[in-house]
Amino acid sequence: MAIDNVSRRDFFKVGSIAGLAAGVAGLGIGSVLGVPEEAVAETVTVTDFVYTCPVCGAKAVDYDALVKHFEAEHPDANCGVPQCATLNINGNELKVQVEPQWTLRETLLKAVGLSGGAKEMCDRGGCGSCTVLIDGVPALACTTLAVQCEGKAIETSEGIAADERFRPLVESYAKHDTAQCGYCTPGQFTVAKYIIEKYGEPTEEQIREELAGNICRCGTYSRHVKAIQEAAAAMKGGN
Amino acid sequence: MKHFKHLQATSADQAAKEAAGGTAWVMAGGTDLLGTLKDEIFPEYPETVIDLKTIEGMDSIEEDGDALRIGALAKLSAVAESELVRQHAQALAQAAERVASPTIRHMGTLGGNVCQMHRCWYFRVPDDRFHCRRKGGKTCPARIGDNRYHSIFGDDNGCYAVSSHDTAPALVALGATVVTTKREIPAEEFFGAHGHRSNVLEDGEVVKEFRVPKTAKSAFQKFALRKSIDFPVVNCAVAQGSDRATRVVLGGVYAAPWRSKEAEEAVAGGVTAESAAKAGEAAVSVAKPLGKNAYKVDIARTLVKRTLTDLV
Amino acid sequence: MGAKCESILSGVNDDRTDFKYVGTWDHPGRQSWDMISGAAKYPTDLWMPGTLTAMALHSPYGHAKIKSLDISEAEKVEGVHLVLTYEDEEIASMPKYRPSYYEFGASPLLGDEAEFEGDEVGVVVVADNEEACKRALDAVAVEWEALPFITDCREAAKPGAPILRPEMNPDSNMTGNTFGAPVEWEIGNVEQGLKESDHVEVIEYGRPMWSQFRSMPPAYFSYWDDDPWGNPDGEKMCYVTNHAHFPSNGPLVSAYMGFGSYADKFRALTPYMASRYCDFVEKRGAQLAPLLSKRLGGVPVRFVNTRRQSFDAAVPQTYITARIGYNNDGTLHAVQSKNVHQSGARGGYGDKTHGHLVLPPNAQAFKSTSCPNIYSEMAYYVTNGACTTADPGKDMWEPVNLAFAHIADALGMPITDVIMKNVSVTDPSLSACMEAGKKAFDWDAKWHKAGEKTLEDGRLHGVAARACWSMTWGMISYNINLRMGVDGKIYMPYSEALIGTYWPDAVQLVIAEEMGMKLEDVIVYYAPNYNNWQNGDAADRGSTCTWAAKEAAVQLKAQILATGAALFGVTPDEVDLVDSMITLKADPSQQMPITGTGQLAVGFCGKPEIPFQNDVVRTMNVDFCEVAVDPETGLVEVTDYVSAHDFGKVIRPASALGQIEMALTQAEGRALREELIWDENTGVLLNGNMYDYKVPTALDQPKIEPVPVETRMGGGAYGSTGVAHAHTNAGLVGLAIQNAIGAWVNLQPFTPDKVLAALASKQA
Repeated sequence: MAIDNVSRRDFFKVGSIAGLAAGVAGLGIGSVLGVPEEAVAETVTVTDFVYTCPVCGAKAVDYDALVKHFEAEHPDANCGVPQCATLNINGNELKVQVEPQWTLRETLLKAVGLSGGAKEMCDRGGCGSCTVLIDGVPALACTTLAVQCEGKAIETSEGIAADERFRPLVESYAKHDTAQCGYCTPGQFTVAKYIIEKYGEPTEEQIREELAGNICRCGTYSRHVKAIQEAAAAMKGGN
Repeated sequence: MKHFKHLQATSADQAAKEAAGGTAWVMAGGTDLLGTLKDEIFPEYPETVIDLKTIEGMDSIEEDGDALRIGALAKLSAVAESELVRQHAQALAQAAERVASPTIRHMGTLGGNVCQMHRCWYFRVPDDRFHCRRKGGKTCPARIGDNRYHSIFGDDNGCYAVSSHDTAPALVALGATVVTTKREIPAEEFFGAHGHRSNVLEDGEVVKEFRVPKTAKSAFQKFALRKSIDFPVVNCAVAQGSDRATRVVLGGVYAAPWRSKEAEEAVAGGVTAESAAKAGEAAVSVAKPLGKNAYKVDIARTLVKRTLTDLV
Repeated sequence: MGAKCESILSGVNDDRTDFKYVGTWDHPGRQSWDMISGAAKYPTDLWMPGTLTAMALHSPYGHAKIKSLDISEAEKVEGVHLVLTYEDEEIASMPKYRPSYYEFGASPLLGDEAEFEGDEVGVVVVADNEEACKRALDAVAVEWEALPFITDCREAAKPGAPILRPEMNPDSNMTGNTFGAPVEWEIGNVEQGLKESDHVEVIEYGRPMWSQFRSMPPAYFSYWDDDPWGNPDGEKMCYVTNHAHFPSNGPLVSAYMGFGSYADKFRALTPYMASRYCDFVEKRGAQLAPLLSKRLGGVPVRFVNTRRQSFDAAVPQTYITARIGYNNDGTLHAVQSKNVHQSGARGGYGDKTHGHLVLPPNAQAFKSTSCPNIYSEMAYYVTNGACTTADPGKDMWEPVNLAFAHIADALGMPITDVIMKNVSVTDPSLSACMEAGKKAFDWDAKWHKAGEKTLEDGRLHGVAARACWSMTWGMISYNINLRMGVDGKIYMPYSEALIGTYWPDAVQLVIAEEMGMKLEDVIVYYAPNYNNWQNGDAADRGSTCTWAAKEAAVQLKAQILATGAALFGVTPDEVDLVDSMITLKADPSQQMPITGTGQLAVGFCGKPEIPFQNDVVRTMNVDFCEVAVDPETGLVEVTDYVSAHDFGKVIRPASALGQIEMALTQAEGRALREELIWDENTGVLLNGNMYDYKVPTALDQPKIEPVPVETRMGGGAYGSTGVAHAHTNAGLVGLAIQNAIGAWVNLQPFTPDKVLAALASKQA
């Protein structure tokens, strides 16, 4: 495990494994210095991943060894054979240990360490807070199983915010106070990327239609309209 | 969610075979099933969840002579945006466009919407809190409870839940056929309260595609409290086939889509503003509202009138 | 009517007129980038390797007592680490009262009696994951004694109703409130006043339970670790999520009070708590998570609630019947009102944990009119509804505006005129808001008598207006610590979790303004180790906290100038701070950076000299609403909302106006759809999910135009005041519906069934 000075954007692109993000950035108290270009984060490479037996906690360095251990030691365990999914998150392939019933949201929280983007609000598909892009299209991480995501490109708000092309969108989002309490904002921001890619310069009606699955209790909807239109114009102008 | 095994199906027949024992449940988009598993609304829990989405080629939308063939895995957003569907089965495109929210339409499939379980809030309270008729219980708690969103046309085997799939009335009005791994079923006979299901499917039977006759004129309207996300309070689909006969189907008013023969008779001589209004009256002339849902009669009357007027 | 109130500006520079930063746009919030990108971790987002999950048993009954419990099978479930019951000594020793707003009736942290369906009761388990928790809870053998329950306070008020809390009141379900129960007061002589009035009418007002709906379902995360400061006592440090914007009554306080420990041993994990609208309810998990973690040697414990389980933070029901007497000139002459109000299951608001009481809709606001005869009776009744929180609307003004609407309708006058005739203090604030709002809304062109206008699409058109106060509280002292760092920047720490008002960012503008610092050189930052640091009250932080910050800023600036003057060899009044540089007034080209001038700091603790709530009409607001009603389906659409709000002085426009957009969007949902629905036969919550509990979507949000009015009449910096709760009144929409359909809809929310019934009653 290496502790490096990596740029914050790289951190989000890379992701971090299983709770290692629970350092400075992971606990959300990294804002002391405002919008940082550089931040300290712990990252590990995929090969460092340790597979853990869900029953006894035994460690294994590869997945096959874990399965062998599990079948030999815990034939009657009610959690079933642990599964492994290769997920492509924000352009990086991660091999993570999941359980078949784990949703993508649960996996991002427990196994990937990118938990701030796809947020849990209703956990039943009725609010849009956990929206990610799967192969470029908005999807609800609370009603998608992690094992269904293999071979698909997953983008989270962290990845989009770290993408230089969408810098104008982050800036216009910040400028217009699109976040009040901020809880639904990453989900809306994720759909905003989709809207800009789909429409180029979207109308208010198109934006409201596309955001109509994302509940915001603070009523910030009109701010999103302004921010998306402003960013779309800036991106169109090559800004 | 409690543990289940996950099986990625390679074909509808394979999925059907795996599901035949009743311990494996099938899932398309997952937007309905996963919620019921999280809430454990049933006394039973599946050993295995069979993912249908991995089946290749079951999401196409194509012309086949006088009909459209729409794969069960076609996304609702694809159905809504399909030029073919818009041209030949407009009510279905309109209905697909009003299902839930944009993101759910990207994930959810036509087959999934059609097979969605009833949204009755007693049925859906977690942990099987109300062991209602649908779960093998003796009574329907909605009959004497808060039935503001329940049936206005009586019970289906003691159940007062309503069909709340937006695409269902459109498929019935259009005279579509549901093709499963076992048989072909006219859409009109497909729906109803049968155990957990909102349709006549058996264990080990999987919907493969829908055959929708090309229909020159059809329309759909939905009434809900919000403009997005909501299930319908009432919806209505109407269609005029090549024989000029008009079908009028309401949703959200009975355990299955409610085809109103009374309304159809009122417009048998042609759809005009006057006959549409009469059809609205006729449709609700046989309504039997419960304690808290008389307002739905007014809404159903209005929707029949307005949706028919869209054909004029 | 027509009375004028005087300015109460009390602080230094409050009458300033030249502003460089205050009142300007385009200042991204300090936390914005993190909130947008998802870098901001909220309590639900926290996870560490080895985190265990905790869940409580929830009552399936509307009201029940546990007769017996057997946890032996639950303890055997694989993956289970700990099963505790209400009999556990440590749980039983936790304080029954929660800090801060003490209410009548206390509840144990975990008891043997469930007060409503979904109530946490009896048992709590900790296991590897949620599945193991669920299996363990399934394995607990519980013998329940189902008790009589009531979910409607009108039923609870009836003679002969089952007594739900005999230990509190053996004779009836009536209970106390903050001011003692029941509240009864009279001004003048109401019976006489009603006799004297030209007209007497009965008005009805009703509101079911609704949910303020926190966006984040509660997830309390806690672990214990060595104290990084190495204190010699050997006590570990508890890390815990903070869900309170009052540092003084958050779970931190609950936790350390419960353990007999101290504030410095408890550290908040994240400043993000998501939306809370005067909802200070902390569920039991706030206290249980640290306790369970401690029992397991400090491992991280995540105490979870589902969305459905978090719907128990509901605003209580209230029902009012009033007789009003008024004269032909449109003035109120007498009001006699009776209010039946719901209290929490144990008789208070805060019984589940923290909660507090704001006055419900009642006759209070009639005191702000010139009406000479008022009688009010208000009683609170225990129910088995999960109501545990306050009301974020200034609902005291709903009945008075309803009375104005009845007068306006009966006399064929615009309600705007009735408001101006009756509210006693109209100048300068109310008059200014009324004028600005009418203009923005085009009221004179849009207003008509009830039932007189049909739109081209066949819908009925209606408009209404309502007046309300903009609270100027200042009831809490503000503790500002301002220091000049060795880097020449100005730092101010705060410690409360954020709810979206951007008050630290408003404070930054004021400090920069007062000191002559560049905006980027003023850092208002979250400092979790200041965990009991009083920065103020959420209600109007954007203004009143800025007042204290302004006082501190002036003091620190004086220190810097004294030091700078000495270095220049001049007197302090010969220098100034300009764009963060000490500048010679006589020759502004002579400048010196403040870096290196020393380490200077000030503390300011205090509050502006403004009275408590009994005199709050200095700053008012008037909202205008336009609706279209479909007479065939009863569906109401709000087509236009204008809100003229007297901010006194707008400090940070983006967030100030955003607060109004938030409140009006909430009002739309609450007026037209939102209510908690309980099954009458079982007491079970039916719509505890986000399909059936209908929060407005982007497509439902009406057109909203906030119109800021600035009279400098508030108590905050420069005469500012906050938005706080002023606009979530749903009643205005009902008044506009009456203007459209010519019939009254008395019970919120105004759903199609009620609108159709009102239309039918009109025809009958």
